[in-house]
Amino acid sequence: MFKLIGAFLIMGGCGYIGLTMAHLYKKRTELFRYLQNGLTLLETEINYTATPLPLALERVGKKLNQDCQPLFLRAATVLKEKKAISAGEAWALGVAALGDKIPLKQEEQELLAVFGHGLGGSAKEEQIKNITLTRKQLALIEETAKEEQVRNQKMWRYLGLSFGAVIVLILI
Amino acid sequence: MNIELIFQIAGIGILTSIFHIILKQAGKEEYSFIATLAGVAIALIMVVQLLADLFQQVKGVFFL
Repeated sequence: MFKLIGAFLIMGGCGYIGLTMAHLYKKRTELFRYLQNGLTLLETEINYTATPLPLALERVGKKLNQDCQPLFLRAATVLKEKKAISAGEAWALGVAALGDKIPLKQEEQELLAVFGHGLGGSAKEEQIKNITLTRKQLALIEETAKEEQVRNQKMWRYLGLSFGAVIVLILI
Repeated sequence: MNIELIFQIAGIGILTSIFHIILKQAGKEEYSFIATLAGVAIALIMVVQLLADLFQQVKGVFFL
């Protein structure tokens, strides 16, 4: 009886880990889509309403979904609280907060960091250009993430369950 | 000689083949090879004691 319960627990645990890993790939694709949305919103804030950056970041962050909220909201709070920090540094902190939630690759982190350097420091036209460029690159990254999702999501789902089954078989 | 071991090894064989297929479909050929190798190794570890017993008995039959 206890053996059976233990077997179910191991299978369940391994299956859950597999499902979480599979879900992470879906989240990454969604993240890049929402980030593009967020940049469009930020572009509108900068271009048409000329909102101060902390406020603009906060507004954009509140409109986005939960996964990419930390990026904008963290940058906004840091910018508001610390006077002696540049927009780029605050944005870098936001990227770090995002990286805690969803694993980002080196190149993706760099892309976001480079975007942050151009943020808030230059003329309006320059910033719009920067945003457009970053959005294009994000679209490319989203394509790659989608491909990875298709390939790896199924694998992780099955792999978790079968790995649990192997452990149960060896232990039983 | 218990029959459970045979079923266990059969199960490991089936699951190893599943691992192999899944990993190959995901484009990770090198991992699929490693998984298969691990499956064989695990099965061998289970069997090796019994193989030793078999050899002892064969030796015993011929009074060696």
